[in-house]
Amino acid sequence: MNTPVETAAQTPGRPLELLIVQLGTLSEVLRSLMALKAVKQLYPSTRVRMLVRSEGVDPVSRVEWIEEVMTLPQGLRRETAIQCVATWLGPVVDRRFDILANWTGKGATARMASIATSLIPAIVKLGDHVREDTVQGSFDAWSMYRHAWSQGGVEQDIHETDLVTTQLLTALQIHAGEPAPDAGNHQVTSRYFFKTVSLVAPDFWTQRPKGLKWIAISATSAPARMSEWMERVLRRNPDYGMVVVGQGEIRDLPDSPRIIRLSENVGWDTILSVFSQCSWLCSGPDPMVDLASLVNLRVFYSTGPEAREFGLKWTETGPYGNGHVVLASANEWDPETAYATWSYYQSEWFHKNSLTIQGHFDHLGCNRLLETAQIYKSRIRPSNEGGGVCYEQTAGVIREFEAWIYRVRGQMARAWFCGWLPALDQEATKLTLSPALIKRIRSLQDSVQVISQIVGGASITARELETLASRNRVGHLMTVEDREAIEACGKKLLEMESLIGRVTRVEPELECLLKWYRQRIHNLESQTLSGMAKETLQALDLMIEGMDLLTAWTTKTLELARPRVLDSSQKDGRGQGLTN
Amino acid sequence: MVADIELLQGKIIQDPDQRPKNTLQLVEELALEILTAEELAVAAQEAV
Repeated sequence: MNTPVETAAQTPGRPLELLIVQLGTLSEVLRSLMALKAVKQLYPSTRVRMLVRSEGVDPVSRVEWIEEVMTLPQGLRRETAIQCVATWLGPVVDRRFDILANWTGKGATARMASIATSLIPAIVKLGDHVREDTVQGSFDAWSMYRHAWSQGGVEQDIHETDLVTTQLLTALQIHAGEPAPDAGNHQVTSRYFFKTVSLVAPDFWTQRPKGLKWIAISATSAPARMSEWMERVLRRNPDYGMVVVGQGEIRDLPDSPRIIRLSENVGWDTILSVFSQCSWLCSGPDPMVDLASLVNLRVFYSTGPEAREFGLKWTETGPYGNGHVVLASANEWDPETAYATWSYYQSEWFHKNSLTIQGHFDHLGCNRLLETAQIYKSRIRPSNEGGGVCYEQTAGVIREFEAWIYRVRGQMARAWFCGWLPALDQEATKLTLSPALIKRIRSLQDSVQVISQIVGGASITARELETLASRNRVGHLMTVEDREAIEACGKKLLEMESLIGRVTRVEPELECLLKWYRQRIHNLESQTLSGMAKETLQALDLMIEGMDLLTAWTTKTLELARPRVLDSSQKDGRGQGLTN
Repeated sequence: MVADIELLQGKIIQDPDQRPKNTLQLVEELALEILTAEELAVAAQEAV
């Protein structure tokens, strides 16, 4: 493909200039750094710049391979604000970026980031922007996916970091060619991710009790009964100390020389210095989690009840890397469950998996606590399994159907955008089958079949519409018959969308497909009717592919649950030929 | 894979030097967005 970026990339010695617009939260900035590190490893000659809000300047400027940290103009006065912004924009416009990616999420600054993305020139743009009709739109498929699913309340198994990494890597692969063959085999996270500006650690930290292992505790996200957990850990583990970081107060903080309270306004160097000496970070959702992930500090992450009991939305922003532990609670965070969970994983080196986590809860006499909690451990999948972080449940309440559909949705996205899927047979062996799961999948299957038929019909209509519209070259002059036929096709498509909506009201787990379709339709680019019909057809084709995958998964799962006759050579001699 | 490359490659801007048609409007809105964000940040700090 002969694109301008390709031409630029082929110019000897001319590195690709990349601008990431990340005006979101500190967590988003840190996750962006993680994604960029992977990109930088695969395309080492790329020059990366970031546009962030003032809160993001400190961490980003400590990353050596980031060429420049830019911020929007600050301290504006109402009467001169427009002039200031225009003055700021002047030199930025002259930069000539090759690729601009807007990675800002859906928060309050999303609009700001979209406007900046529209105003700053670049040869290739990814992410959200403001269209000429002032409505926000997306430039690429991964951004539409983020809107439809990740930000649209749909549970799916691709972490935010992996999502933006894949988006940018795909674009680079298209525009700049394959990465260096041996690049990218290094770990992304590292204790030395950030350079420290000041090497002098503060006194309170250098004078801490020696010979202890340290747990950093995030005060910002500490649950109400955190002090009970701390007290329990200190009492039973004399080799541990704790350092409380972040803003906020921990209620009834135990009085112990083994607890250090970091001042709320310490700088990045201090936090990085403390984290480099800690063994764990104990935290709920908080930028500290993203920072710990970057510097390879093991996280004991707590997530409370979400919109749905044991919902899985946290997996999109949870701790990134290998070996992090997640405790998901159905009710209020419980220190006893938290202690049993943490103590199992902190002594992993000792029991070396000879003890199960259920056995550990048994020893502590608190097995009943697993009835209201889920425990997960994070792992980076090998590249032949698709890469990225995943969370494997190790104990607690099993929600089979939710886990099943969550996994299928992730596979749908991989099929759509990566053109890669693990073999279904191999995936199916990992399933835990139960009568409840089978019953639920059977009921889902009916809705899948109905939607598949509707989408199939819509696809035929969209094709008809395209054929009709492409007959007319002028665009606005046509015979009365053609006009009526085009109107009829349009109406039919709308009716089909409404029909799908009705089915998804009965089966909300399939609403994700409608959300995805609507996002695609919102982002139709063409100015002609035939072009729009073609894009609608493409959107429907993606839905059909998604439905086919769902059908394959439901069929395979139900097939696994079906009793089958054993081969005579497999009989166990007692004449029993049936299994499952 | 059904998704075509065009959907994944991002938007190729044929003439990046060409300003958006509504540049002035976008600059105005950006200024307003920055001001609002700054005011919100001040209000949040005062609330603490």
